[in-house]
Amino acid sequence: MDSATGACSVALWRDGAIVARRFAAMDRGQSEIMVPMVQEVMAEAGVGFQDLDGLGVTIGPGAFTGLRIGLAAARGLALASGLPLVGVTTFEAVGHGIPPEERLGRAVVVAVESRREDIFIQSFDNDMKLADQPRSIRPDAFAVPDCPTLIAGDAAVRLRMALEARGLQDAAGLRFAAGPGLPDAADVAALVAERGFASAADGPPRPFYLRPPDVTLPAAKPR
Amino acid sequence: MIVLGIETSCDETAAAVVTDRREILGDVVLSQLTDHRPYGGVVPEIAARAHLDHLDGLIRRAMDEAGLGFDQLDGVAATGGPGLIGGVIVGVMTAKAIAAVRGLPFIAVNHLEGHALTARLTDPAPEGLSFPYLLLLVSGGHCQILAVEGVGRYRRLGTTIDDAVGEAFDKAAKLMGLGYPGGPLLERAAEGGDASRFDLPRPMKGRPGCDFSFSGLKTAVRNRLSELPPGPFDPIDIRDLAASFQAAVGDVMVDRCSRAMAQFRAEHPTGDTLVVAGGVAANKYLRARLTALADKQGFRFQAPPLRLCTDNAVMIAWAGLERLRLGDTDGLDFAPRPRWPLDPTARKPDGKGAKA
Repeated sequence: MDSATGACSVALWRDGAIVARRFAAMDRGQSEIMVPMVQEVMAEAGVGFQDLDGLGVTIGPGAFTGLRIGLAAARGLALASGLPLVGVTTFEAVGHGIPPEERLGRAVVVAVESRREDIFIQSFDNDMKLADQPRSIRPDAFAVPDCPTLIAGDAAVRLRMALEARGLQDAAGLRFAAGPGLPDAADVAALVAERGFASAADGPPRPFYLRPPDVTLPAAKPR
Repeated sequence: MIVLGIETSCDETAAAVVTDRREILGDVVLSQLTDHRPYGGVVPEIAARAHLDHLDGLIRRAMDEAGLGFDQLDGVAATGGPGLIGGVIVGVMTAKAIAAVRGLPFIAVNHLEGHALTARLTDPAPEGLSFPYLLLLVSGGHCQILAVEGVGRYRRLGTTIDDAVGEAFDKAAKLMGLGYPGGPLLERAAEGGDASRFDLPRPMKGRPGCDFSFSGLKTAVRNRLSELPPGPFDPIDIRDLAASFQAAVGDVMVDRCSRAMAQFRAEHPTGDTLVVAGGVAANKYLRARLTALADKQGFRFQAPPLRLCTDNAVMIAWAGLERLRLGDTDGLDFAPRPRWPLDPTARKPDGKGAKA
């Protein structure tokens, strides 16, 4: 399941392949279609919850409300079914969705929209292994990598604009992914199938906000 | 019939299990008070995060308290609004997911309907409380008088045109330097105070209709404070001002409610009960004033126990059960509603700051 950014999707993985999937690009309204999508996908695959081995969900980063929609639904499903639930990050899901031929011989930077001034980014090497820590940066503070790199994710557009403003968009070895860069539950399912459910024993996956709430402590009162 | 209820619309995360025999089998509430206190009010994003972190564990605890498995439920209810949308979404999604896994009906409950119907769960009379009755709903977010005519049938007789009464307590307490949440702190500060010492207005008193207004009272408190000597407040001054504030609110409540009682009685000659619900119903001074008013007017006074006056999931489970009994359930495509008036036909109250 995914609703962490500008989409909502549910997919069912069985024995090495996706057998049913729903995907809708949308900025709001995920709270309405997420659970019906789960029901549709399971009906199409002809399975009940008792037939599943586990559940997976994106934990963020992304839109705070969106990632909570997916996580609350997934944790509710896990609670009521007793199934193990594991989370993957938005970076991992988007990275997994890039066709291997598109990223051939390149490192990957996944840039995720925060809908604020900053963007969320994390890098992978050319074997799709995590190469640095996820972080929040201003697009104009992005340092062009010194190796051939593919930039993906729904904030790639903003990153490109910031690079254009600095005249760096055509820097040697820099490419931008063709796809919209939205996470897809099909990739979440594939990643979870690959990793297994052992981490579910540590408790339900926690949201990965990557930014504290926007709030400041009130000033001290005059008296 | 057994229903699980979930409440996440403000700063309490709660889960509860109730039955149609008016039994509370499980009841768990986690207050986020300490998370929000440094900010002097509820911070929506902090609230939404805390709801997600704790809700599934609390549901597990409520079900364990009840000694039930999900298969023994007849329905799952969650607050669908009104409230802070980030929190409402967490509760609604969790409830929908449980309903989907177990093939149970889902009921999206109006939070205010939860407050409105709780008295039917808790009324000490063996047959319970029947419709119609008069409801005064007073909390940090609401201040309304409603004729409760049936499940889903609410007619608003009056509402605040600006601040809710609990909000007025919080703001006045903040001005007096009493801290947050202001209601209980102001009530304590007022003990033994001279309620006649400070001249405060009685907004709307004597006016036609049953609407409320509290922003002028808050401004008057600020003005009285500015007239005090400079330097730290004298505790005696604060005590007397708190008592004066409470007396002003009490006078307004009594005036507005007595008008509502007359109107209600004219329309519903069989109705004889005044129910007070919401967090402000915890205020002993206001409760005493309203009890005296009810006695004088020949109304029975009923207020749910304190822990069911503040936000809780028992009331959501109960309202869900009342709706489920009537076959009134919601689809799993229900859209959480940040605004959701109990009486959609009620006119918008006059006043620029009207919220409810």
